[in-house]
Amino acid sequence: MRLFDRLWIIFAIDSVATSVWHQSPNADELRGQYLEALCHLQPWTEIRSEADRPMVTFSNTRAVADFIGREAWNPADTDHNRHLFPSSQQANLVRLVEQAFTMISRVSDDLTELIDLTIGELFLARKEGHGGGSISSAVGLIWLNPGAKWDPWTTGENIVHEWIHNMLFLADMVDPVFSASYLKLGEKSSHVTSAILHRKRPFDRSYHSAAVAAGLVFLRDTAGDTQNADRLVAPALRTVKGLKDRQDLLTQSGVDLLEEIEAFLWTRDSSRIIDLLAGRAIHQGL
Amino acid sequence: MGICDGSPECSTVQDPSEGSKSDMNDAEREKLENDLEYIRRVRRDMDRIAGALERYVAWHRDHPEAAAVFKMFLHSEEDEE
Repeated sequence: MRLFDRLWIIFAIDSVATSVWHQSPNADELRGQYLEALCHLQPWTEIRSEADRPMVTFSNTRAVADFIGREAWNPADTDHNRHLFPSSQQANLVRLVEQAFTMISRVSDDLTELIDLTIGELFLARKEGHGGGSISSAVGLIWLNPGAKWDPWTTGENIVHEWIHNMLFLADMVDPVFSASYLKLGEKSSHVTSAILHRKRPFDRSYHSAAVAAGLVFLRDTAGDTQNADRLVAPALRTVKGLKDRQDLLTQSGVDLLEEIEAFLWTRDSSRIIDLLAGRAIHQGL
Repeated sequence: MGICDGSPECSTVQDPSEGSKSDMNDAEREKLENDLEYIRRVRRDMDRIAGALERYVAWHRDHPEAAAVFKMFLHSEEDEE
C-alpha cells in the first residue's frame, strides 16, 4: 500500500520540491523545501512549520478563511473567536499531541518520521460537532479539534487518519488517483457506500474512507486492538467492491492503489506495512 | 516545466535555500540520502509528474466553489469519517 511506503512518500515529496524549485534538495533540506513548495503552490492558505516536526498552532487566520471560503466551515463558526481554544487549555493540548506521537511511535517509529516529514502544521481549533478534518486545498496541514474525551491513543489515531487523507492528496498531486474532477465524483450517480459512515457518499470520499479504514486496521492490529480493527474490515471491503464497480472514475494508479488496499484488508499483513514504512519493501509502482 | 516561474509573485516566496534545515541525526540523514539517491535513479518522466502537480494546483486555484474540493471531517465519536 503505497500510502505507507517510505520510498513512495519520499519520491512524491521530492518530486513536488524538485518541480517547484528546479533543484533537488539534499536530505537536510527535503522537508523544508517540500513544505515551502506547498506554501508556494497554495497561496490561498497558510501552512507553518518547524524544522523537524509539525508545528502545533492554535490560530491560523488564512487557513480558516480558506475553510470558510470553500464552505468547509461556516462563518458563524468563528463568531466571537469561538473557534479558538482558550490559552488556559493550550499547554494541555500540546501535551496531548506529544503523547499522541508517542503512541504512534509505539506502533512504528517510521510512521512518526513520515508524518514529521510531510506535515507542516497541526492546527488545533474548535468547531462544534467536528473532531477535525482535511481539505484538498490545504495539503500539509491537519486540523484537529480534540474533544474532552480524547486520550493520547484517540488523538494519535486521528492524526494518522488525517495524515492518510494528506497522503492521498499527495498521490493526486504527482500521480492522480481519480480520472474525473471532484465535481463529477460528487454527483449522485457516482456515490458509493462509505467504509466508515456506512451510507452512500461521493466517490472520492468513499475512496478515502477505504484507505483510512485500511490504515486504521493496520494501526489497531499492530497495537493489539484487533477487536476494533475487525469492525472496520467488512464495511471497508464492501466499499472497495463498490469502488471497483466504478473503475471508470479511477486512473490506473487509482485502480492499483485500490487493489493494494483490498489486498491488505484481506491479508492484514501488517508486517509488510512495517517493512514499507521502513523503506525495506520496494513498491513496484514507484 | 517549473512552477516557480520567476514572476514577481514567485519572488515573494522564501528562497528554498534559506529554508529551515533539519537537525536529523547522522543515521537518519544517511538513510534519507540513500533513499533519495535510489528514487532519483529509478524515477521516470518528471514532466508527467510536474504536469499532474500543475493541474492539481490550477484546479484548486480556479475552482473556489465549495463542491470543487475534497473535504472530509471527523464527526462525533459515533459518527466518524
